[in-house]
Amino acid sequence: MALVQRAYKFLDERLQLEPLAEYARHKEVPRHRYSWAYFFGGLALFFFVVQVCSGILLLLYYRPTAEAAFDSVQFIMTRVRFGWLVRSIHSWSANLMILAAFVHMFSVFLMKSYTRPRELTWWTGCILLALSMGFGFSGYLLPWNELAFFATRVGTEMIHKTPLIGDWLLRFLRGGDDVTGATLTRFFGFHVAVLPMVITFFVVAHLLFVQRQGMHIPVSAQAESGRRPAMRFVPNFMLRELLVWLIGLALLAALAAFLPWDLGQKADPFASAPANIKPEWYFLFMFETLKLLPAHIFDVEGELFGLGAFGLAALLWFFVPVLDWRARKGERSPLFTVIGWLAIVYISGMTLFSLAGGLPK
Amino acid sequence: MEQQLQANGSTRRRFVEWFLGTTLGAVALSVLYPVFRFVIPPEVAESATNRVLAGTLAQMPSNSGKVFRFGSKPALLIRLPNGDFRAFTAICTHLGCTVEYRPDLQEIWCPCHNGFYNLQGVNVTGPPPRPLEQYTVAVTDDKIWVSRGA
Amino acid sequence: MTPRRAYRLAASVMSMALVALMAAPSRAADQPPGSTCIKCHLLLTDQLKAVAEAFKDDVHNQPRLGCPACHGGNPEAEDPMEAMDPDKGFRGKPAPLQVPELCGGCHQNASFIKQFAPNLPTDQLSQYWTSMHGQRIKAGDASAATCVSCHGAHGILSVHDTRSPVYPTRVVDTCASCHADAQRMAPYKIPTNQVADYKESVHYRMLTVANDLSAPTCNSCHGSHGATPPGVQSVANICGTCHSLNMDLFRSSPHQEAFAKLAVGACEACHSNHRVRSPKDSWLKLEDDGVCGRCHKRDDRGGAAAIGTLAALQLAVRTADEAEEQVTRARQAGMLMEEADADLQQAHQDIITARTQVHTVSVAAVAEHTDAAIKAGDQALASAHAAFDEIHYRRTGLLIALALIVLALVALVLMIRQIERPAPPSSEGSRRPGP
Repeated sequence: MALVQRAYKFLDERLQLEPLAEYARHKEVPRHRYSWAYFFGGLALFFFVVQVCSGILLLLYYRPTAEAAFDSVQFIMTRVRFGWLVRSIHSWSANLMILAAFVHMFSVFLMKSYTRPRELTWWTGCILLALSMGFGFSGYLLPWNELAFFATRVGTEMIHKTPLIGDWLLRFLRGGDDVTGATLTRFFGFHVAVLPMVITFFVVAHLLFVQRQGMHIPVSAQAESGRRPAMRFVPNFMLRELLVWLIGLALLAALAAFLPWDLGQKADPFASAPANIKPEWYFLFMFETLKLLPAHIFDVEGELFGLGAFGLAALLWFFVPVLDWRARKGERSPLFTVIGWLAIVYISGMTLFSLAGGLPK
Repeated sequence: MEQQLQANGSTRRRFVEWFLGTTLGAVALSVLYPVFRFVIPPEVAESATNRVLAGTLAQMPSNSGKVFRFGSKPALLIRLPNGDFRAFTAICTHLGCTVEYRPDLQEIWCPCHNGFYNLQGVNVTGPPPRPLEQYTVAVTDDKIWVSRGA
Repeated sequence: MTPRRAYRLAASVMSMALVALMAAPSRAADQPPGSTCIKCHLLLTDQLKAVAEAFKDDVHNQPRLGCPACHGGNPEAEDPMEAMDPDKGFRGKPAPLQVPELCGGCHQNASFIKQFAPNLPTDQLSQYWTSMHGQRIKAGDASAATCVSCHGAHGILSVHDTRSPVYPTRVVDTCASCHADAQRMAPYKIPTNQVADYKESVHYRMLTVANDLSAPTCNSCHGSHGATPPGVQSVANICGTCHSLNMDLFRSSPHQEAFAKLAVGACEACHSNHRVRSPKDSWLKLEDDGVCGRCHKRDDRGGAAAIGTLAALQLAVRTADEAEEQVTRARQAGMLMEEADADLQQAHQDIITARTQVHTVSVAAVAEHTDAAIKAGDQALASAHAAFDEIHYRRTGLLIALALIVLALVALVLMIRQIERPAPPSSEGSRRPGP
């Protein structure tokens, strides 16, 4: 403790940290029956930091070419000390990060925290979710194994269906007409340079907004929150957040040791696709829905219609701070609560359905 | 009484602070230890499935062959009568038996069903339907390195 | 009525009918030969029409060959009497006994065949005369197989054409059309179970299921044109054309002389001739389905060798199987088992080599390879155990890490409670601010 104090004095003398420290000392977090939800944003951030660290470690041994990628991952898993651990943690943490992000987003949605004056936080948050899924999609290809190769091919085919710019988008993503070593190099560039740069900007913005504006209290909890004394951010909330992070760390370690991540077979572009190609679980609900649609709806190709519907839904979701007029006025907004629950049930239901086997062929 | 409570309180507080610091430090160490071991490179610096030390010049007289391990599969290293080296997979393209070099015939032979490949690895007689995949050979000092792919 | 007069009569009847049917005159000059034959015959019915239709795909359906190549006659004549005039060379339907010489007339002529297919063999007829079929024909038996029995008469396809009755996968059914017919073979007193036996063999399975065209069928061992069952002394040679190593090992063994003295076909005695199945290690037994037991007893040298060989092989197989099981378990638990896979492959290869060495009937020769197999199997097993140890180590490490994390969690909870406890009342009035 004494060491910490001395360090603080050293920096404060030079950087005038005192106003910031004062601000932090007075920062409070409201207490009510939904306060538990406040931890999930930080949890997603924790998993993201784990990703950055484990990703940098993997970068020391990974080789991003079609010929060497698979072998380099295998090398990491068999020869490098604790390589199996770093790789499994990286794969699991990716999934846990996206899961935490989804929980965070849905809890924010149900609490209507997106409403005025926190629209910017919601919008940066939506972009962060999209970026995370971009990280997931680009990272999935990097081991260059069979499942990843074909999942990427199918996924980029879907993007190809976008009207007008579909062709351009496909070539931009794939680095050519088909999924090849050029695609791998490009995805690697996205995954370790472009996306990190962009996401850092948005994470900083998102955190700044949250820190600046403080926590939103849902309408239904306002009375309770008024009665109970708020929690100090430093050190009370931070200690609790640390508790949640350590639980996350324990979960990661357990998953890595008891359910190590598979490597599978090296990709062979000339082989036919294996029987059950599936994207990663966070895309499964879309994948399964598209399978459900008939070949043609209103003269439009079924899959295109589905993708269009998802695009529209995403757009509406993005603009919910503007659309939810009741919340903007500070009133309860039961309609949007129902919409939120419907979305949760639909997405989790379709995901579980797909994991259980999905539709028969 | 109150002083005792206070004294107890501050001892307790110090204990809790110490306990927290120590356990967090232990957790930090249990994270840093694997990271530290990870960044030190292993003895075999490169993936063995792309480049393998197949033998030494001393082991390979002219017109001889040797079966060695390439990754998890057998491979064949041949030294031609003129001193050049060739390397192929040793898995016969017919039914998977391990082929060998026949110095008397200067051809590659599969003992299972009498299949023959020439020194380019091309199947010439017998059941094998396809040629043998060829590997690249590089010789530095006394060592013979065999590699595959780009 | 002689055949010549019969043809004349048939031709005149037909010409009257056909003159009425054929309207437009054909321009004979630029038509391929045989065209008037085809044109008329396509207007007929049943067999006479079928032959013309089948001929469309025939390899002989080309300029300078066509119908006249075998039947003679004038392919440009419109008038049937002229087209099928025996005095002008029309041969009609050849009798079975004439077929070999008819086909051989072109196919034995190297300079003629060279003009159509430079590398087509031209020894079929001379081969044929050495065959059982050829000898029966020479003896005047018209029901013996001739060229058309296997190749067809009209619609003859190249042996490389998958539709041809002599394409490798179809040969057995072509031979079966006579040789599996008990009634037909009765006068010759030869068995008719060969096809049924062959269809149970590993050779047939490789040919039809695995699509391995190098697998043998009837003509691979019996010859195609010179088809004859191999003599007892030749069996080893025949099998040895593919299984050369086994043949060499057998020749160097005491069995070579023994079997020759007993006039027993070498490979055939143990492996059978048509119903060749994948051999089992249990064949080395002296009882039950053991092949060695047919001649050897426990107390003779051969019997002892069989027992010793079987024991060595069984040990090797057991070691390899156990190693495989453990390696699979380790792999399923998430470990990458490349080295172990290589060792297992080596072990299996050594067992194959050991089994081949059985043909030397020397326990030492077999044991050399079973020992190598056991060594490789033991190495794979060791890798599997090392993998289990590693898994154990990782899980222990994890549990320690988890324990540390749980302790840290406890510490955090204590800390939180500590700072959120209401402060005890103190005489100096200083109060720690509440939570």
